[in-house]
Amino acid sequence: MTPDNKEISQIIKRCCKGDNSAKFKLYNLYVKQMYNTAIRFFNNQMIAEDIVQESFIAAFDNIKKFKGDSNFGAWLKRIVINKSITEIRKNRLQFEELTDSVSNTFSDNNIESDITAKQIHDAVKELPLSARTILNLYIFENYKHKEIAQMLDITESTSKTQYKRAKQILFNILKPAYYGTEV
Amino acid sequence: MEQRFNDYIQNNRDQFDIEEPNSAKMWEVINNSHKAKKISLPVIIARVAAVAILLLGITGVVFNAQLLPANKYVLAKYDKQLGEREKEYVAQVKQKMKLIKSNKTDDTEIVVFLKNELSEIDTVYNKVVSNIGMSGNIESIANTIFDTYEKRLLIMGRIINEKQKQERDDRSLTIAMGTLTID
Repeated sequence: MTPDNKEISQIIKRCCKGDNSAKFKLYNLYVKQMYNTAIRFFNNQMIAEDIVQESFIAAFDNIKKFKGDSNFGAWLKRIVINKSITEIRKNRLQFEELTDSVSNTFSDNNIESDITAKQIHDAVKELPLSARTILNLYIFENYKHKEIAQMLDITESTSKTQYKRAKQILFNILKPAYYGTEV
Repeated sequence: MEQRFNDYIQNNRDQFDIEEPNSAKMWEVINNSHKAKKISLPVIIARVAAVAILLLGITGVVFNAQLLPANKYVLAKYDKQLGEREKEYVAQVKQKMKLIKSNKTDDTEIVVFLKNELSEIDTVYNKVVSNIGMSGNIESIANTIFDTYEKRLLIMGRIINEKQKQERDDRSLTIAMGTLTID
């Protein structure tokens, strides 16, 4: 059973005092969520594990700076995302602005009954890194294009066109699953 | 259609954390990293003393690096146009610094990391400025100075972004769940 906010607050207090079992508890509460965020960015188990490990180490090192009136999961998630972006930028990934000629013939009237979360998750991992990064930040992590542009040092318009491209590729990957036939 | 797809993901966000991480292996790394940081008391005392002495000497420098970014005009006396460009950069830096200072949220681990990056840029900037009289090629030096400003502005943008996000999270969570308190 997931602990409520009060319990999490108690666990964090113990972490602040250096209680290792509390850290382990907190780790177990959030590791799956953080790992899935990282694996969606990198589609590589080793890199995702490194990012998550570094993020937890940084979080525990700085846990006294965590303000109790905000959500620990959201705080930790931002560390994971920032570390992921730093890693992506290290590889000097190019985000090019694309022409806005995307067309979608995919209809998602019954998307929840026809396509599973796993199929979407797997399809996201198949996207090219630049498209995947922007789609992840926009849809899964709820960042705005303006914020994504700042984070990745690209223009807002590049973020938007890359996002549209990502959606197009994603839908093309999902089409067979959705219609039941190869398209 | 697009909105429906996005809504589907956002409304079922938890279902997308599908993959099981190798939690035990990852915890071992995290736990070992903390053990490695636990050092003996005499070593801690010696380190604290050394840091204290060092801090007395460099507090002013660090303060300037993080809170008072390079805002001196050094190029105007060599070239009027370069001086004008420098002036524009300084104005932008000051504007962003004002925004950062006006945000009262505590510095998260990411913000601390970004501020350290600012400090490193300051070191580069100061080195370049200290060599300005020794080189005959003022344009080349000016370009390096402008490059440090570009990088500084980019990082400051990310700091603002982080702080605004933190502020939004704090606000929305306080409204949604009331306040968690940590002593």
